[in-house]
Amino acid sequence: MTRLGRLVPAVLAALLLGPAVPAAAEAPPPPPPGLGIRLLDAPTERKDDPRARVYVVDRVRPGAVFVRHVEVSNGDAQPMDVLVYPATATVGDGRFQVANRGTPGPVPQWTTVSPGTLRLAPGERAEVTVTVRVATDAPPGEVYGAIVAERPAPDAQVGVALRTAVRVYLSVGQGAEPASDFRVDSLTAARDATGRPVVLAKVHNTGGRALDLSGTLRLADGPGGLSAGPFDATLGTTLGVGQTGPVSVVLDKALPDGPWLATLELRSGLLVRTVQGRITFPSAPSATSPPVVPKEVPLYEKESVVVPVAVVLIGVVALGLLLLGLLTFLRRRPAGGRQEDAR
Amino acid sequence: MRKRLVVGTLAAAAVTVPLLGAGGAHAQDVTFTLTGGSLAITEPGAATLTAGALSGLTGTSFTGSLGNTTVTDSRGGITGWATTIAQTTAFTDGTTTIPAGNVKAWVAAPIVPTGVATVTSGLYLTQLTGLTLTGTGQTFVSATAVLGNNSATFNPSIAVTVPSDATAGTYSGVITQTVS
Repeated sequence: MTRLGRLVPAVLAALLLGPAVPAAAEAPPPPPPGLGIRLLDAPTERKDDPRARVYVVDRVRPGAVFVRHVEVSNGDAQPMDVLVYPATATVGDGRFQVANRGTPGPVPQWTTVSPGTLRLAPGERAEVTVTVRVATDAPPGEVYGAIVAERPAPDAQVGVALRTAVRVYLSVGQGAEPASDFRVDSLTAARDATGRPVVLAKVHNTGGRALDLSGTLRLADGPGGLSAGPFDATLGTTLGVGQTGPVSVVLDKALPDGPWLATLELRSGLLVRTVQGRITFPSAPSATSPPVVPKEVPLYEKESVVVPVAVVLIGVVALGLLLLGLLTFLRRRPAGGRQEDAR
Repeated sequence: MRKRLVVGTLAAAAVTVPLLGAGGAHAQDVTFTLTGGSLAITEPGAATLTAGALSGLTGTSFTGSLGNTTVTDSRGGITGWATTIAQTTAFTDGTTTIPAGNVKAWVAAPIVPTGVATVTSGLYLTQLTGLTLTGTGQTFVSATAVLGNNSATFNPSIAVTVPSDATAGTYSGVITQTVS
């Protein structure tokens, strides 16, 4: 117990200090070729969010200060001079574009990195501390940026500078984070110039945060009961707040025209939306069928959700029964005791 | 024994409060260590254009390649990546500056990634349909439908059209490729 008493503050302290504790003593594999960057720590409460594992994704209040760490690596056979700096970024047309060094914006204004210049030996890795001090008068909303490592261009006729970056998505405001949400406005069946069937979906970011979408399409209920898929959806990587972007899924040429029941599942981080619509591909290349407004499939209608939910429900009911039994038992025991006393 | 445990927890709480209070940050400032790999980019660093130097042959277009650019994504996740390309220092001989809009970039050969990813330069496949550069980064090559570690190598071609009023001289400039 005494040990445990000491352990609790120690564990809490370790959690607070975070990255100060190295993960493992074993030798890390050599860094990938060229200039590399990786995020070293993420907020515990975003542990399950795949985006927070590679980007700085956070909800911050005006005046907040937080620290993250990145590792910059040189996988080349020559020493490398590297600049590390915060940059602003834009999200539009489904794209995340990091601005040049020195372009003004909230992220470079609030962020300092230390050290800002590195000379890395072949195979060397260096840790950089990133401190973000959100302005006290920062207006609510989303700001985008990046922590950039740059290998400046060598002197040459055509010098090529290389940059690699960890994206930063900050939601500024008081209170809880605005919910992320999106809607699929329409599904369109088409054929491209080479005759391949394509499903185009129009996705609308209706939430309060930027989205990085990925997803799959399944076709079912086709001619003769055929089904096909899953097919990977390709899309512009990022959709800003309020923006609408296309998602396209290219399918196999051998698929019949349909009609099909198309089920499109899209996800961003922990958020998943599934929509269904009945589509028929046009017969001719470079043709488009009229768009269909899909209907959202509620979570409980999906097999993958129903089973775990059912298991949890059974568990809860079983636990409830157990507690009830225990209570009844406890209630009866003192009663029995009194009876014994009475005798 | 129970008392000691409570004291320990209280002490920890006392440590927690000022630390969080000082920063004025949220409880989410508690972080954990990530074990994923990095996102890396490599490229020879210098390129030359055919016909040697941009020596003021007005109205002509020089083409060349930037060299094999390799993006290695060892983050092991499902998030895609994208490169941008920009003419961060316009080609100049000290007298004439060639506007960034005279420079186009494209990737001629299909990009075959390793690992699970769809990597494409979109419509930027020929000089005709190439991306007209600007001073700021525009998305050039992107990877979607990523599942786990992946990498891709591509060799961007560029074409520089020398304006008709250009002076004779040796031109140099900088092109920046960014991955995120």
